Amino acid sequence: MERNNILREILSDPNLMQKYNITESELKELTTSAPYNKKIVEVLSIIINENDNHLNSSMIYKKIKKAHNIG
Amino acid sequence: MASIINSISFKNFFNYYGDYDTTKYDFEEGVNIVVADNGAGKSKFFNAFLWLFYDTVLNSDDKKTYPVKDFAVKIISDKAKNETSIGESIETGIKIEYSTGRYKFQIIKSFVATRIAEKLSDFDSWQITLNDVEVDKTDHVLPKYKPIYDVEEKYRVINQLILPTLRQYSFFQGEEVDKMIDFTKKSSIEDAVKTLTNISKYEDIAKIVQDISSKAYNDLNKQTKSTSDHNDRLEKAIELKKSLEDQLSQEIEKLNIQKELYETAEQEKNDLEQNFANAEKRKELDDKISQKSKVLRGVKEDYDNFLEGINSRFFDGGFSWISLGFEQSVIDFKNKIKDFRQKRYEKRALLNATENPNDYFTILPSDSPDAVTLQQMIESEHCHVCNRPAKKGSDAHNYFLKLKNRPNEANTKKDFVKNDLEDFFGNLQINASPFLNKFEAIPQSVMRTREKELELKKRLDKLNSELKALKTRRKDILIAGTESEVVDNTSNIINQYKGSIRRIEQASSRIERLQGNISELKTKISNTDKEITNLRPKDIPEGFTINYEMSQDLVEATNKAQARVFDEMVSLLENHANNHFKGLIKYNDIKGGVLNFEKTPSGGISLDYIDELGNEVSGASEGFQRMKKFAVVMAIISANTSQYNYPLLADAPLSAFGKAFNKGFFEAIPDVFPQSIILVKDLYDKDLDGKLTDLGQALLKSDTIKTLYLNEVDEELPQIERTTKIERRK
Amino acid sequence: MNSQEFRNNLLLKRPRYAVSRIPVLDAFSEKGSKSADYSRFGPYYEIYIYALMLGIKKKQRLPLPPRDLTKDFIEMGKWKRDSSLIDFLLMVIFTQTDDLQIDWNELEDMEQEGLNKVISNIVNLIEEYANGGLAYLEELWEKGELSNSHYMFIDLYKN
Repeated sequence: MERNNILREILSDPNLMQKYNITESELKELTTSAPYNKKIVEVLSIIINENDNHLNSSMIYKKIKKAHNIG
Repeated sequence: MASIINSISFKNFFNYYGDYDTTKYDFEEGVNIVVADNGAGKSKFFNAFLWLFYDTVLNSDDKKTYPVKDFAVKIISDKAKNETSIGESIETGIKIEYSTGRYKFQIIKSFVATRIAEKLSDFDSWQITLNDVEVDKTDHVLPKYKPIYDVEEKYRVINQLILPTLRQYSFFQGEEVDKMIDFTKKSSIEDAVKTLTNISKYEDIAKIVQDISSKAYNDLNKQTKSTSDHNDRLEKAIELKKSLEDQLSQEIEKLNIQKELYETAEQEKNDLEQNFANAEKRKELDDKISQKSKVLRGVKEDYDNFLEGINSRFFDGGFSWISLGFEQSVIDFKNKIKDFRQKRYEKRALLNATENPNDYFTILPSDSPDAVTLQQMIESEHCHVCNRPAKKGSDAHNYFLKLKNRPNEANTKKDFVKNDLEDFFGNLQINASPFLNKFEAIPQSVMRTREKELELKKRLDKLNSELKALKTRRKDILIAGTESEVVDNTSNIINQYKGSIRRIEQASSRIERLQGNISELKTKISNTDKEITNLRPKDIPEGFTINYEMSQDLVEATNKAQARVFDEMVSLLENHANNHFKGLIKYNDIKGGVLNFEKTPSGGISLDYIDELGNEVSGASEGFQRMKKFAVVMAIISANTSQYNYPLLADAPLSAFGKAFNKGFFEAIPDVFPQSIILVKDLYDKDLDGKLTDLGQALLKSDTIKTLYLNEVDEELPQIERTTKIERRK
Repeated sequence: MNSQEFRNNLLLKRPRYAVSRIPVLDAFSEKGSKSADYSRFGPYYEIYIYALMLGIKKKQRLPLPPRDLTKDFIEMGKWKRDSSLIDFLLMVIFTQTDDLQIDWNELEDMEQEGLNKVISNIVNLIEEYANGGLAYLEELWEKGELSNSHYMFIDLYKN
């Protein structure tokens, strides 16, 4: 799946993996579909998925705020 | 499944006179070649696809494209026009059949022209009505085509033949390759990568996360303000960050300007190099032309002299043509001089006998026998003339003595005639001898003269046609040259070239400096940001902080991911291009090196060919440059993860390549393109029996080549009678 | 007169040609024509010699007009120097005994005056055959029957 690949590609950054505690094996299994066990995966998945739904950044931001419980 | 073109046919389309069934090419999967000399329908063939895809045609006179409806009168075959009376109508069109795995499609684009006035080629003499594009479909099971009525569906069928985004790599004319792949232009490599990857998704995401990050920052700041009272240090830090960010965006703006300057200068440099190459090639041709002209003048002079000299062969003793037919005169002369001598001999003998009867018998020619022999005869008492003994004292011996003592004729010679003309006649015969023995050889000599003339003439004709070819080539270079032809003076070009290099260096060092500034600013911003985080009050809901931090991390990660995807694709392209390049230059005399993709400061890629020793091969030749680019085109196509599903349609992709490259080309293209239709003139040679060059002959036998057509237009005929003869050779 | 004197006397002669033949002479020699419509000879004497021999071949003997309508030519001795061409020509001339009505042996017994007459007859013969040859060429030329091949003269000469 293209979306999953994009997700994994972006999160494969070593600094990011370290900071958010993502292991190599975990990375390989990541998908953009819920449920998400890490916030960062959830946020990026929302962005990737909703971009495909042609939502603009303001609309996507609203969804992200909800995910952070600040919306 | 790949789209495969099954056939294309024409109806009264340019010189393709006649109905669809008379001008039809059937094609197969694999390599198909249409061989045609200049003016024998290559560009017209190509034009059919321009009509199909874009409703335009390319006018070969001014190299501009025109909408079909505006250009219709020129599109109709002149012969067909000529055969249409006023009031009558005529149809012109193209028909293309192609199949995918399951379906077969037939597309017809056509128009009807009605003649309303006398002047054949006048646009006002014809009324044009464009017909609706007709698209029919069948699956391979059903024998009959069924029309498609939905307009969108029709265009989908047309586009599916070659997808619009891929046409630039799959449908082109020779010289376009140079322009379509220019990776020194950032946009060109980006285009290619965009075609090949989902990098645009990353771009979208990068934009979104950037937006989100700034929204998250604003929200966080709002929270800070609403929850805390006055905090000077925090506000200062926030302001500092703001100002640093303003600086950053200014620097980025500057960087972009410098990159643009760099790219422009680089572009100019490349154009000038091309111009240099052209100038060099022109110079080379000029040298050849002047050399050839000199040889030609020499041969022409020889030839003229030879012609002038033909008649002098009458009077030259070596040829003696003047004597032709005078054999009898020579025989007469010989008889006459014999009679003449006989008579004067008798006359003299008689005279002597009367004056000196005793000496009568001694009259032997003065030196016969010669004095030495006579002395021997006296001493040996033997006559060597009659081989008889002549003893001393005998009559015979006495006669020897008498002969020996015979009076010296010169002294005693008496004028027995008033005018002694013996020498006059005798000398005529002796002197004229060169003219007396050539009779039989003259016809042959005349023949050899003609042969020699033909030989010279042939040489002259050959030189003339060679010179003409060189001049045509020179003219072609002029046409291919850019508008900067006007400033075609070498020092001007050199100055421009130097200028562009200076600007490249300038932009390059500025880019470097700006990039330094930018990374410095980024560090400052990041440090300030850390300070801000520390200074923020602790009572802000956690979500805001995490939201901002996470979005910032994602901005960075996305940018990096985007760059990674880009770089990976470039290196994949580099690998593929190298593989194809090896195939393409297989028969060329270029020592194995590599095509190197070098990143330029402006984000483009320069294609350098690096030889075994690591040196750049500049390869000014247009053919070599185009070869590199074609390797890249093939790479773009083969780097596609899936199989490439579209045909290659190329008009004259080989012009400017050498023969060795052509061979490599035909072998290499099937690796990438499931079907290719190549229009070429390079395989045509009208002077040869089969009209094909030796490479053409070899390709006929090659398994790679599925069909080969030969187009011929009778140029002897007036334009209004011309048709295109299509001969399938394979 | 001995052989040398006889030869000298002969070769000092300057054969004449009719003024009316100048266009023909010009048309077929380099000296005369700038542009070459037809194959050409070099100097005048070449076309003259050719015409002479052609005249003999074709038995075209044609008397010259009165003296004031003629011009003289360079001495025969100067035709094609350093060549024995003239010897060959004289050989051919001297076999035309029917025309000349001379017996070579008789020449040897002639008085100076008689010999001069013979020389003059010979020159006359040359002039008349050359004139005949030129007339022949001129006729073909005017009728447009000459081919403009480089081999026109040899082709004409062969038949």
